[in-house]
Order: sequence, then structure tokens, then C-alpha cells
Amino acid sequence: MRLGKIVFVVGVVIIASALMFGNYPLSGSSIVYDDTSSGIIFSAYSDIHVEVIPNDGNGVFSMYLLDGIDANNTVVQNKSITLATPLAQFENITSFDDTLMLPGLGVYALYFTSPESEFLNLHISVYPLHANLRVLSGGIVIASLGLIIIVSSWGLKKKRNDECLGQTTNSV
Amino acid sequence: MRARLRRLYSLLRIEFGVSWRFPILEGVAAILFFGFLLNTLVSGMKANFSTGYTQSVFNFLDRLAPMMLHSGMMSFNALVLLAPILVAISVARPFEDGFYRTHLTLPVKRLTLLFTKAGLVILILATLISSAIMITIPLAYPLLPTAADLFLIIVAIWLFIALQVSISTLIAVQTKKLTATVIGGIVFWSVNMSLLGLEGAPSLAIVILNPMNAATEFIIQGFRAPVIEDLQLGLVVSLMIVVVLFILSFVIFERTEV
Repeated sequence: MRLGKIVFVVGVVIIASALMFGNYPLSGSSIVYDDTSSGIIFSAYSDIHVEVIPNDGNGVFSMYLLDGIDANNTVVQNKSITLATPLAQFENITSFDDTLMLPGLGVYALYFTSPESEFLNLHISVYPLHANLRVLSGGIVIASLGLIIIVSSWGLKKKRNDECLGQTTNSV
Repeated sequence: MRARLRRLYSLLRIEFGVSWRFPILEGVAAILFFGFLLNTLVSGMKANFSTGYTQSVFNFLDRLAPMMLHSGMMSFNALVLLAPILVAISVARPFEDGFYRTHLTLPVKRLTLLFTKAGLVILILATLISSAIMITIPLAYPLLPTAADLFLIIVAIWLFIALQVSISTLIAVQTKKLTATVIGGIVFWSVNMSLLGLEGAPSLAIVILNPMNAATEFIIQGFRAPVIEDLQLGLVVSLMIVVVLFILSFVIFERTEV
């Protein structure tokens, strides 16, 4: 019974966390200048809404959405974006505010370059659009398991009590 | 042997019914899981990279899981404060309400009694924290940490909790006061956290007093990561301190009038 209660509470906490923090926005800044480009790597599990604005209000930049492993190989090995296969690309833009589709849970990268080689300080916000379904479903499974343990141990206890009561009545 | 096991079972039943009664155990589980998930989901999911620092991209992909573990573990720095509170409830309060007299009517040795009470705090806290990590990893991590990293973290957590519990137990049996145990535990925790923020603090001292933080710094190779020799030596010394503190507590408890 006690174990069931603990498992149930843990399941409820996981469900609550998935609903409260599962789509918590990630924010950061990225600095690009000359031939140095930069970006943000993040873990995501659903479609995202991305907002990118230069901190001083103007400037032209290009943005690429990459698979994390692809970003790693391209940037580390080649120091260039040219060999990468972006999932989405937006070139020569002054700001970005749109939804991007992701294939599923994984590591992704937003990679920024400055076509005019100017110094840019970009403010990036990534908003996951849905609750973290994997954590949520895990929480539901654990809470259900807790409920099953509670109900079955309650049933066992009742059965045992009934048997004891039956034996006492028979002996009387 | 069977009779001894039955007595131990009775003792555990009393403990779960009194010191860990509903909803203390369930509340502790909820707080620990919530803290770990909060830090993991809110701050553990991103990192910057730049072609100016290409190594950081490579490192990040290799260390994404350790970084997420590190973020989640940050919550336990504060949550480990539960240890002195739970020791106070479990070990110090029976001095105040006289429940040790009832306990000692059972045919159990004092050593077994204290060992059960303090051991249960370590067992429950460390098991819950380890479970929080093991359950969160398959649910929220896109890349898995290595078995070696995970093993190191779990060992360090058990040691860190054992250290907090052993110090609090010593204070509890020495003072026999609930408030003194809580305050003593908080003071030790504060000293420990101050040491983490202190510039130039020896890494061996950090490993000994806060194995959990040292281990997480080690797996992400952070600025204050200890070298492997310091880590190994620190963990062993930390374990020895735990054993010595428990022996002291048992000796004092044997001679204490309840």
C-alpha cells in the first residue's frame, strides 16, 4: 500500500513537471562577427517557435536549423556550414519569428552567420509548442502503476480480513 | 537468525509508522523528484557554441547528458537539507517525547536501533534521488550518459547523504534536541556551500565534504573539476569520516540515558 502511494505520488509529480516545465522557453544569445559564426544547441522533442532579433535592433544574418550531430560534424570538422544539410534555412534576414517543424526528440542546433561580416549580438528564444509528451506519458504510466499497486494491496488486505473474519465466525 | 530478522522487521514497521508516517515519505519523494525534474527541464537543455571555440561544440555533444545531469543535480544541493530535518524527526525527537523508552522495551540492541533509524534516512533519501535520476534519464534525455559517469554520480550521492546524516546523527545523540539537530545540520550545510563558492578552496576538501558536487564537476570537466587522484582519495576519506562519525554516535548513544 505504502509503495503504491509513493509510486503514485512520483507519477503525479512527473505529470505536473511535464505540464509545467515541459514547454519552458529556452533563451540565449549568440555573437557573430567576421568569419566567426555561432549558434545554440538544444534538446527538443516537438515543434518549436523561434524568435531571433539583433540586440541593437538592426543587422542582416542567416539562420540554419540543423540536426545536432550534423552541426557537430560540420562545424567541428569543416568550420563551415556549406557541407551541412540544414533542416531549414533562412538567409539574409533581419529578424525571425516563426514556427519550425522538428522530426522528433533529439538534439538540434540553430546556427547563425553574418553575410556582411558585421558584428551582431543576436537574442534567441526557443519556445517548445507542446508539453513534453515523453515525460508526460512516462508520468501517466508510473501513476497508473501506483494506482494498480494501491488497489491490489487494498484488495488483498480486504480478502485477508474477510478470511480471518470467516474463520472466527466458524470457530464461534 | 529468524527471530532477529523478525525483530528488525518490527522495528522497521514502527519506524515507517512513526518517523516516516504518511505523508512524510510521500512528501520527501515528491520534493526530490520535483526538484530534479525542474532543474533538468528548465536549465539543462541548451548550450551555446561558436566556430571561434569549435571544441565546445564537440565537447557539448559528448557531454550533453553529463551537462543535463549536472543541471538536475544542482537541485540536490538545497534538497540535501532534508537530511538533518529527517534525522531530527527520526533520531532526536524520540529523546524529547520519550519514545526511545518504548523502543527499548523491544528485545533489540541500542546499536541496532540507531543503525536502523539513521540507516533508513540514508537508504530512503539516496534511493529516492537515485530513482529520480534513473527514471528521468530515459524520459527526458536525448543522449544517454555513460555507465561510468552514472555510477560515479550515484556513489557520490550516497556518500554525500551519508555524510550529512552521520553528522546530524552525532549532533542528535549528543544534544538530544530536535532544533539543535536541525540547526547543526543547516550550519554544516552552509559551511559546505560556502566552501564551494570560495576561491582557491582545495579540491580535495571539496571532494571530501561535498562528493556530489565534485563528481558532477568531474563528469562535465568544469572549471573546478578535481583530478582523478583527488576524487578517488576524497571519496575514500569521505567514507572513512562517515564510518568514524557513526561509530562515535553509537558509542555516545550506548551511554546516553533515554
